[in-house]
Amino acid sequence: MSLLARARVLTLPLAFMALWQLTSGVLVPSLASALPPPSKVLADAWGVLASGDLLVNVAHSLWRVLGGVAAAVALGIPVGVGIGLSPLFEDIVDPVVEFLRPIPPIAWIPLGILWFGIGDTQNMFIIFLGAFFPIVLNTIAGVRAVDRSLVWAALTLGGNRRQIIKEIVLPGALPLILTGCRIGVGVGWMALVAAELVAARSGLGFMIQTARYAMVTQRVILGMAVIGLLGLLMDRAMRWLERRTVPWSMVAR
Amino acid sequence: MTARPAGLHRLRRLVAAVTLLVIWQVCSAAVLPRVAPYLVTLLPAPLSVFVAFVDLARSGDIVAHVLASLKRVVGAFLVAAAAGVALGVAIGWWRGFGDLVDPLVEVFRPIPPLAWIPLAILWFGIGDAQNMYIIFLGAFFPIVVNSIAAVRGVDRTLVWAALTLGGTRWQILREIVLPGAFPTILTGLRIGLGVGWMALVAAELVAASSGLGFLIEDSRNLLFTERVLVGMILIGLLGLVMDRGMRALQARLVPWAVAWR
Repeated sequence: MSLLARARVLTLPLAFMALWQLTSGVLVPSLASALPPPSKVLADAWGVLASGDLLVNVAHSLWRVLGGVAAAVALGIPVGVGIGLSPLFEDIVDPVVEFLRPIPPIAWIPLGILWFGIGDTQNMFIIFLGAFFPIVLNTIAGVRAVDRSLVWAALTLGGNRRQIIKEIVLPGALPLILTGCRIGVGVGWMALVAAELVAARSGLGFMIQTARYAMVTQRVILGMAVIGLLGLLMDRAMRWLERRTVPWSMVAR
Repeated sequence: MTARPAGLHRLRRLVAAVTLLVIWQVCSAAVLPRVAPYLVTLLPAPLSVFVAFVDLARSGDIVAHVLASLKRVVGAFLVAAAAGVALGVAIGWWRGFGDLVDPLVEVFRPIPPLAWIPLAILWFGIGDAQNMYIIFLGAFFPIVVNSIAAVRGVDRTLVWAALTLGGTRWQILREIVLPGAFPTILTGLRIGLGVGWMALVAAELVAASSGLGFLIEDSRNLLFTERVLVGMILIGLLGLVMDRGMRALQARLVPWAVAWR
């Protein structure tokens, strides 16, 4: 990117920041409680960073995402492979999946609280639900997209069912499985925020909700920015993983 | 893989679903009360869920909550659709404008709509305005992003052909770019409606005194688990109906774009 193009990219975000700082910092000070200027947000960022509060909440949120997504991967990929390969398994499991899928993970929050109370298990359950369905659906699509002639070739060469799944179906479905995981992480992250708003005693969602009660608006905005940034970073990391592990599928896109 | 008869396929699905419902009914209504009575509140039987639904339907509560939610979604979605398509087309069509404004959109896009909820409560208090703002945010970004991609994905040769034939910029935008971008714009609208619906539920959980999200949270507080399940199923069902509606609209308006998907 040329210097000029780079400057152009930064123009409006910087102008927006300057206008925001000017409006709520200088021109209309009464706005500062509802929309504190960036300088106040930064000062607060320094404070919670120094006290370690921010890092603790970030660590709790990330831990929940990790647990929820890991469970979704562990359960979602076998279910997806099963549905994709076995018509009988599909007929038994698919109606349940199709019935549960339209219910947004967030709508599970009240029931999740009744079942698991408040805290890690409930949060992980909601993230699990958010990540599970994208992973299952993409795994099914990935398994079905595997080149039939490869399967036939392996059968001709005397491969058994287990070998075919391990050597042909899973590697062939891997690109879409990884895409499913990336989408699942994104949905799970979004669901996490909602779960922590309502049912947690730590984490970023909890941080912005308590800051709201205490009317510390700068911390609400700081938390939102960190949530957005971490979501973006996780998405980038998953894309990097896709490029690393299945470069051939990225070329085709 | 051998072709399987559709009838067997359907029969097996039906049998599996009914079996599962019966197992659930027996577990919740017959086994749980004896083994662990305190767990019955946590997983009510399908029949008691149905009874709760009938009760809520008779009293008219359900209709009121559904209408409250739908009103918010439709209002916020219309605003998001108008603003999102206009902004997306402008970013995609005018290069200079796009280079300038696109970075600002990218700054806000990663923040999930649900993370706005506490700030929106501070700004708008509890109720319609706050809920609609959250739905707007949920729907707006998918619509913008898809509209940008739609305009940029329009076949260049068509644009060049129109330029060769002496078309003005305005004519090209109206006659070629907008019709060419329409299928993808519609996809963005469908995705936006879906995210908006999900965001609504979250907003209503925290900051509303009506609507389906409020119904399930309120019923949770009162330990009416049957009603929580009724609300969840209705949320899923309405989301599905909206998605199907948008798909039907796509099939009607842009059949050529749906056919190869």
